[in-house]
Amino acid sequence: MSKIQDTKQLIEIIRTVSESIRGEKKNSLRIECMNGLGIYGTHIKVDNKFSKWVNGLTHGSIEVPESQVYEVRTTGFSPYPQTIKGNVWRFDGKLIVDLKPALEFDLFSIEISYRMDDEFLNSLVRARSSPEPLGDQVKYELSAQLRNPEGLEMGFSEVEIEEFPVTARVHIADRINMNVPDYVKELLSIETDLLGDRNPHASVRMVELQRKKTQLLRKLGKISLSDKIKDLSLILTPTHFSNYVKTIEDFKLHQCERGPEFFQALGMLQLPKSMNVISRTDLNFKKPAAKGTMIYESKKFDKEISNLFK
Amino acid sequence: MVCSNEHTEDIDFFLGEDIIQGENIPFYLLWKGADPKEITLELSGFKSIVELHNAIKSRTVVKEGKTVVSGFYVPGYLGGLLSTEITNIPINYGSLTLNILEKNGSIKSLNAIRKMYTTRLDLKEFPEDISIGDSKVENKISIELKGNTTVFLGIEEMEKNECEIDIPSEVKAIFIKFYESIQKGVNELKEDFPEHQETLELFLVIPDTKVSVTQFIEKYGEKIKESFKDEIFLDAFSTIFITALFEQVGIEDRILKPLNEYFESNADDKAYFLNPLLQIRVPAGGCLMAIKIKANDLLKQESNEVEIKVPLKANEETYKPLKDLFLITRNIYE
Repeated sequence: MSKIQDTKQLIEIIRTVSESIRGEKKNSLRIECMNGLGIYGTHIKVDNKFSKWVNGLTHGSIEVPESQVYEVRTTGFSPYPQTIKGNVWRFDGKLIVDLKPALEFDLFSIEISYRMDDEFLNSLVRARSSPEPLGDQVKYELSAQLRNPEGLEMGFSEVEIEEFPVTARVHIADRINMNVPDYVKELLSIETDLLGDRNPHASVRMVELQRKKTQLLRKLGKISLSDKIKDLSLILTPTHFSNYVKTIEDFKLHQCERGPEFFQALGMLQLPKSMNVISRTDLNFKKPAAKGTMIYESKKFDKEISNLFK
Repeated sequence: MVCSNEHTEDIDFFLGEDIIQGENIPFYLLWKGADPKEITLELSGFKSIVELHNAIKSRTVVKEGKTVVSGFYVPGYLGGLLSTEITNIPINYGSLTLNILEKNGSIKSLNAIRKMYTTRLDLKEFPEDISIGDSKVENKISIELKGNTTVFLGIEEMEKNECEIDIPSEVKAIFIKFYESIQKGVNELKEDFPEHQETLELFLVIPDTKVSVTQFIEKYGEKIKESFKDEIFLDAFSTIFITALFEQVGIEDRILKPLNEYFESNADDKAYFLNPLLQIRVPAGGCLMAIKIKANDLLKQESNEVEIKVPLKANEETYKPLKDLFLITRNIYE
C-alpha cells in the first residue's frame, strides 16, 4: 500500500472528495502518530431538500484511489446518530463510497484514513530532545512545534497531531561502568585473557591468571559471574528502565527501547550503551508548540547497579 | 518595556537548551490575544535562522543583522530553527532577542541566552619516546578533554606510521569465522529475495577487518533496521546473524568478549574509545608510531584531531593495547 508523502498530495485528495458534495462543509485532519494514520474527516451539512435531491442525482457516490486508503467510514449525526455500513466497495483500483444512505441525514461525516509516510509526519513537526544533559545532569529537554501550519491551514479548519513521538537517547554506558566494581571488570578481563591465550608456552602466565581469578571470585561470593551479569542485564531491559525515567509538562512517557548500538533481534544477553526514551505530545492550531522535560533518575539507577555487587 | 523573563502569563518564549555546538536549535513564541504588528529577531552567537515557522512575511536587515517578521497564518505562534557552529571554545554563548511591536505601537522585548558546548582534544604531555615492556606503560601520552560533552575517540594511522596496529589475532579469527558464516547465509538469501539483492551485496564486500564481532553488529544492526522495512526479509536476515553467532562463536566469545570490550571502551567520564581492542605491535628495536586521534560528539560531528608521532621502544617483540599508551583526563568548564 503506498503512503501519503506530502501535504500537497493529501490536499489534492481532500479537494476531490470535498468538491463532490454540495453543502456546508468543515474539513479536519487528525494524525494518529501511534498508528501512522492520517484521518481526513469532512462534516457535511445538507439540510435543504433541494440540495439533497441534487446531490442524490449528481453525486450519489464518490471515488478515491484505492491504493492509499486504509479505511473509509461514514457516520450520520442528525436527526439521529448512526454508523453507515456496507456503502463502500472496491472496483478497478478505486474505492467507491455510496453517499445515498448518508444523504438521509442532515449532518453526516466521511472519514478517510490514510497511511502516513514517516517522513511526511516529520515534515509537519520540528522536534528536538537535547542530546545529553549538560546544565542539569538528569534533565533532557524536549520540544515539538508545527513547521508548516500554512500548508495544513489551506486544507483544514482543524488539525490534530496526536501523540507525536520525541526520542531522548540516554547514554547509560558510563553509569554502568562507574557502578560495576573494578574487581568484576578485572575478572572479566582475566577470563577473556585465559580464553584467548592459546599459547602452550605461556603456562606460567596462565597459572598466575588462574590464581588471580580465584582470588577475585571470592569477592563475588556464592553467585557466579555469569549470574551477576544476567541480573545486570535484567536491570537493563527497556521495561525495567522505565522505572528510572519520567516526564513533566506537555510530554507523556510512552516507552523505552534499547539504543540502536545493539542489534535487538539477536535476543541474547546484551548490555546496551544507550536507551531510547520515547515521549509523546499533542499539537494543534491552538497549541502549535509544546515543551517538556524528561527526568532520568540516574542516582536510583546507579544504586540498583551497585547493589547487585554488594 | 523590557522584559527579561521568558514566561509571562500571556507569553511563552522557548529556546532550546543544552546545546552541542553545530546543532540546530528550535525556538518558539506563543502569545495570547491579538497578533503583533511585527516581531524583530536579533541573533548573537548563533549562526543564522535556518527555518521560520508560521510567518507570512519576513525580511532580513543585513546591516543590523535583524530579521523582521510580520503576519501569521495561525494566530498566536511564531517558531523557527537556529543554526550554531563548532568553535574551539568549550562553552560559548548564543542569544536571541525578540522585539515585539504591538499594533498600538508599544514594544515588548524578550531575550534568552544559552550556553553552547563542545569538547576539544588537547595534547598535554608528550614523551620523547615510550618504552614498551611487560609492565604498565610509565610515561603515557597525556590528552586532556576540554569541555563537558560526551566524546568518542577514534584512532587513525598516519602515513609515516611504522608500528603495526590491529585487533588481537584471536578476536580477528572469531570475526572472520563469523563473517564467513554471514556471507554464506547472505548468498543463499540472494536467491530467495532477489528484490533485496542490492542491500545484500553490501554484506558481501569484505569489511574493514579491524573490527570485533560486537562492533560489526553495532554498525550494521542500525543499517539493517533503517533500510529493511520488509519484515519477512528482516526476519530471515536476523536469523543469519543469530546462526552465525551461535554456530561460529562460542558462548564465552558471545558474552565475555563483548562485555570486556564494553568495559574497556571507557576512557574517562563520558569519553569512549571507538575501538578499544586495537593493539600495537612493537618489534624488537622499536618503531615510530604516527597516529591521529579524532573526537566525535553524540551528533557524530568531529570537533578536532590531534596528531601524535612518538618512537616506541621494546627489547623484544611486544603487543600492547593501544589505549594503554594514553592518559585521558577531562577539564570541566562552568
